Amino acid sequence: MDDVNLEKPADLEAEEGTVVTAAEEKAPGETILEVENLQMYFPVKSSGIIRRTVGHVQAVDGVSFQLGAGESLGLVGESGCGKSTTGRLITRLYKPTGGSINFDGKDIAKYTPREIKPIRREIQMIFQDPYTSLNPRHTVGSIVGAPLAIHKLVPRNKILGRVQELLEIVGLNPEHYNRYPHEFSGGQRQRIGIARALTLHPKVLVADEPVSALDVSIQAQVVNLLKDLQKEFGIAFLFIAHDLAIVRHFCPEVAVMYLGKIVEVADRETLYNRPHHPYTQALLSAVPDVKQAAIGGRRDRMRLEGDVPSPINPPSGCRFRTRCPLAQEICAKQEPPLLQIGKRHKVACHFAGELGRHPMQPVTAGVLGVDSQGNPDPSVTPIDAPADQPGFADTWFDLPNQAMSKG
Amino acid sequence: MSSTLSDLETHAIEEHPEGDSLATKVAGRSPTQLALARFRKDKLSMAAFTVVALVFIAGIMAPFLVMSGFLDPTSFHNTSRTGQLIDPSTGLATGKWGGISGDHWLGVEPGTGRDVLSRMWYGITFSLAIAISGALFTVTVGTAVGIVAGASGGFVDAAIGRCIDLVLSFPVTLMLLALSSPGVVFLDETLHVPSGPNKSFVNGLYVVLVLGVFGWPYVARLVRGQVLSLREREFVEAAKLIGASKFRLYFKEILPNLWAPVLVIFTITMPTYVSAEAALNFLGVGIKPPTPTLGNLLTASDDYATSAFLFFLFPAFLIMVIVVSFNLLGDGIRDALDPKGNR
Repeated sequence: MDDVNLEKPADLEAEEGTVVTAAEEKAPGETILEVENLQMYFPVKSSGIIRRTVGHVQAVDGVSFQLGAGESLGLVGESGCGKSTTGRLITRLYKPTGGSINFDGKDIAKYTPREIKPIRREIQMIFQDPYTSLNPRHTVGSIVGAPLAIHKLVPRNKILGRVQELLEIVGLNPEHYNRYPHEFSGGQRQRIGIARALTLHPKVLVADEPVSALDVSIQAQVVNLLKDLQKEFGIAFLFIAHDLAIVRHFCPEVAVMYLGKIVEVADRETLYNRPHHPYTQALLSAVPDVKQAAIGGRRDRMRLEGDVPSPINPPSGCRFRTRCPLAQEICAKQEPPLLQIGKRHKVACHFAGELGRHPMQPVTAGVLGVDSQGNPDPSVTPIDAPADQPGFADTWFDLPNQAMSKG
Repeated sequence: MSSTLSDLETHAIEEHPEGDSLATKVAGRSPTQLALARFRKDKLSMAAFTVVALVFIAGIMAPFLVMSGFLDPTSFHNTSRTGQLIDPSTGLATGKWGGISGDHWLGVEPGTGRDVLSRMWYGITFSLAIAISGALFTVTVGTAVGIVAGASGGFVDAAIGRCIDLVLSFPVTLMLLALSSPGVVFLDETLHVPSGPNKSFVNGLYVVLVLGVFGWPYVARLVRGQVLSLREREFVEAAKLIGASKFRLYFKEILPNLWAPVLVIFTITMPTYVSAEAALNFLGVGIKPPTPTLGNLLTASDDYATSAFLFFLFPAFLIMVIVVSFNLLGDGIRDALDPKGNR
């Protein structure tokens, strides 16, 4: 550990707003985390003495994305869609059953617990529930200072000073280091959790629903604090949430997950204004609109029928087809690839299109080399369009032309 | 309190003025301090605590009082200053009240004329020693096994679970009685445990071992359950995330959260072991006279339950007081540590 890194938060405290970038750090925007085809299958064991594996919960199944240094990617989806599991895979609380997590040029997906320890400093996490994420028997000082002691970053007698600095950074009274978590409100506890995550000065911060357990009035404060911290320290965020408004506020880029897969990724404007996946459209139409309510007008709300299928036995082809209003035969036969259809826009749907203007013929038929029913068609020469890649390419599959284009 | 917290919240967002007056006013208190404050408010628990403290002090003082001659639990008294103390024909103490006098405040033992007060007082020492050692053994082994089972899960957990079932399904009392004499002989002759005067050490050790060996499964089950629920809490994940070792995880993060239930188990196990010692003694296992314990005092008195009524009453009453006050103390500690838990 070099001294530069150690002093960083203190420096920043003094000169507010400066982004200090050490030599080895990535320039903002350069890819720091690349996840490719990430898989997490949890075994389902039978009951009884001999516990055989009778199936797998496919919590995360082939997720790929990129995260640039100092950027933030939002991950949204309903409960149980695998977004939290994705976060826990990236922090390596779970060991993925497949795929790669490329962090800073190293594939940490298969690292052993011993190998992962130095990486822990770089990838940290903010937890959802500030009431269970802080040990009730430890003081704030020992909670925030524990990472320093474990990684032996700071001599023991200097820990207190650093802890107080960190508490001040997250907007808590540094005098409170000697108190216990139960003496703080939810918002303050979450600030303690944030201070703990910052202690090691991570490059990537996974925020797993960091505000969903908080009062609405406190949510904005905490989100703004995270924004400020991101600006100051150049931390890349993977922001997991189910609140679309908060994600829109926080993340320039958003990925939508459904049943363990990313169904649509796009920059904020595209995703919120021109979503192409029916699931994203349904999600967005479920957001209450105050303006509409005031005028008295009612938007057409896209209602999804039925329940989310079990991730133990997901539907064939497209996982969303059981609830999708557009579903046709091809959806059961062919899994739609996550195709790039715009400069910063990817979607995994055979009938991708803006709401109300979905195409009648599958747009992916040409790419997959199948006919419109999803059966292999030897007469079709598959268009070479990269699919299921982590990042965005310079060329993409243009939907209206059904061909590769450069915009 | 809630208004104070929200004040703090707004304070936290603003710049911190130097010398925040609020911060000095709200003193930080640890969960232990809060529990102590709650405990102090509970009058019944405080009374129980006082009795328990007195019993402990008495038990600690007794050996020194015996050495100094103030207590005399072993000497036979046939006569007193006023005349015959034990009626040679019946063996009972002369007079109405079992020989109560200025010399023998609680009377004398029928047959031998040993001072009852001295024997009871000294008996506290041995009974408590057995109960405390037994409870410590039980709780230590139980906690360790429980943490291991809860922490490792899988096959180890299942194996320990079956082990616990096995121990719990033993007909304990019967085995104790059957094994008592070979057990003591084994300790004495094979392991060469120093037997102490009148073999009381070996006999006592046997009781402690038996209480511990058959007591730990209950503790282990409870602790395992606690560990299972604690290790799913996010603070454990958070500790993993900052690179904490397994040792730190279980002994620094989880164990501090186990002190409360373990302490409660300990205080509730103690009184059951005091009465268990008495019951075992009655069945012939444990420390034998002339070394006194509350158990063998009670055992000695059963022949005289009608003829020397008080000789039976005093030790029985003392056992009752000890058991009730320990139980109340245990309940009080539990309530103080867990304000949400209902009785």
